[in-house]
Order: sequence, then structure tokens, then C-alpha cells
Amino acid sequence: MPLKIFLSSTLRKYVPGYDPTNGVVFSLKGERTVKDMCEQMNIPADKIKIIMVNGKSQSPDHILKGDERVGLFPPVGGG
Amino acid sequence: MNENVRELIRSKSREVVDPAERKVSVLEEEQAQGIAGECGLKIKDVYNEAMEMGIYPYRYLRNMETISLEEQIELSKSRVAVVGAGGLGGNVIVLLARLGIGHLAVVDYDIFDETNLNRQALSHVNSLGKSKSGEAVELVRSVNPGVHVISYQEKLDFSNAFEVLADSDVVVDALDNIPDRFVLERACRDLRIPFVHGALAGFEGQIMTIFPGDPGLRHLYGNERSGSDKSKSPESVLGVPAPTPSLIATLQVMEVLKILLKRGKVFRNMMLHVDMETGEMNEFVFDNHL
Repeated sequence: MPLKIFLSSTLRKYVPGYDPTNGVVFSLKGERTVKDMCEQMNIPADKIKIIMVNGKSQSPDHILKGDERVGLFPPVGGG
Repeated sequence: MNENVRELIRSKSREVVDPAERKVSVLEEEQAQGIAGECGLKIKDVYNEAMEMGIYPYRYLRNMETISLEEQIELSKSRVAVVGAGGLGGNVIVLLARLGIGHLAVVDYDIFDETNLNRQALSHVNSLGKSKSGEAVELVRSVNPGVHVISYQEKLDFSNAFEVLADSDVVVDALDNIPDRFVLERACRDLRIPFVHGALAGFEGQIMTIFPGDPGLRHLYGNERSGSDKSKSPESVLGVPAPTPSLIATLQVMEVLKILLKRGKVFRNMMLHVDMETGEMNEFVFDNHL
């Protein structure tokens, strides 16, 4: 199963045509960190506040195997 | 409570058959008001006494059996502070009043303006220019006179946090910006009070329940400087349409209920994230070690 990336709120604009229901299917070449993946997708690292890999929080240096579900979130503070 | 009051409650109560065809003794609002007036009591005291006698305040009949009479009494003895009476807070306050939380403290320094009308439950055309916390008091009294409500038209900071929050069993974070949320978290931590966070942007939102000692908001926002550039925040860019604060507020109130009644699953050290457009609700777990 390939890597599936889900983007929250304002991060979606960095992936033109982003489909919130299905996310983005992404193939990694070799061992890559979340940070590498974001770079490859042109998502600015400083816009991401929370990284979730298979439902658990991880750091940008977390190494991906290539078959995870990744959720990326900006800081949301509205009320 | 003296026997005279109990006798009045007994004589003014009546038996009804509920939709599940159970016979239930109830006390209607008008009778409860009358007893309170006659005996110089608050209606809340009359309701509490009635519930201790196994008599349902008629207004709570449709909470049965999801909220037991014992739990209804517990809610009536509870104190909740809601900080922010806007998009989240307005909805939270209405729900807590209907649930019969005994004591509500509402904190908001702001007044209603026209851009609030798209989502804020307490705003209406005639409330523009009026104090949000003041309108909250009016609404709570009109929904449930059994709730004692007190308002603070001020911004919560370390100078007033103790006075405003000290006696609360739970605090609800219904603020609209990250720096103020950190102030509230610190105050709750110092006062050893659990608090229920909620935030949103567009059709997405999140909640987390934070107990004293939990890493809490650091999980969601990193450090306290986060979100200082308000103009670029997701909520500024995407806006805050009505369905989102309504749902997030509902989830926050459920957290309050679960904390007060010690039941169910509380979303602690995890974020419950909702995307209303895709219909997805996901739990995300945080590692305690930051």
C-alpha cells in the first residue's frame, strides 16, 4: 500500500486539486523522513504544527516506511 | 431543607406517563417557581430538593435514562466556567444551561458585531453592540432559571484568573486565539482545574481535554509564541462558518459532562479532529514525552 497523505485546512492549498476525501497518494523513493516528504510536496515546514503517522504524533525527522497514513495540521485557533 | 418545603414539593408535584410509558413524579417550572417564592428559596434549591425526593423537574424529564436523577443532581451541584462567549462559547453556554449545570461563569470582554451573526449562538440583530457576557446571562436565565450564572466582561489574564475560575470544577476554552488559550491553560494548571479545549477553522475543528500536569496545548501548538501572526492563521484565512463551532461546542460539552459525571471516554492526551466536509472524525494520540 502506498503512502497516503491527508492535509488539514490551509495546508491543502499547497497541493493543487487536493481531494480531502482521498488525500494524496505518494510514492517515496528509499528511506525518507516526514520533512523530506513535505519538501518533495512543496509544503513549507514552518506551516505544519502537528504530524500524525498512523494516528500517532511524530517529529519531522520520523522515518517513513512508505505505507503509512500521514496527517499534517497547521495551528488552528479559531472559536 | 425543612419539612414544609418538602410537603409543598410533594403536594405540587404530579404523576405523568413519559413517552416510554413509565409513570414519573414531576415538578413543573411554574410550581417550582411558586414554592421558591413562597419559601424565599432559589428555584435551583427547590429542584435539588425535589430530585433528592425522587421527583423529576419536568424540564429534565427527557434526559431520562441517559442522565439519571443522581447525575442530574450532580450536574446541579457543579460549577463550570466558559471563557469566551462567541462562536464556541455561545453554543457551549446554551447547552450547559439546558443540561442544568448549577453554576456557570461566563467570561468575555467583547461586544457583538455584525460579522458574529454568521455563527455565534447568542448574537442576533438586536444584540449588536451589546456585551457578549451580558447576553449570555440573559439567555441562560431565559432557558433555565435553575442555573446560577455570573458574567465577567473582562479579558482573562493572570490578574483576574483566580477570582473568575477558582471554584470551577471544569473550565471550557472557547477562546478565538492561541496566545489567550495558553494564558487560560496556565491559570487552570495553577488552580488544578481540568479544562476542555476546542478550536476550529473552516469546516474543521479539534478538541482535547487537558488535566493539570498534562502537556496539553504544547501538543497542539508547540510553544506559546505560536499563532501570534493572526492574519495568516487558518481561521482568519478560511473563516468560521456556523456548523463548525456548533459541532465543536457540542463535543466540548460532552467532555464537560463526562468529566463531571466520571463516565465515558475523555479525550485526554489526544486530539479528536473533525472534518465536517468529508464527514471524518479521527482520534490522534500524542506521545507524552515532548
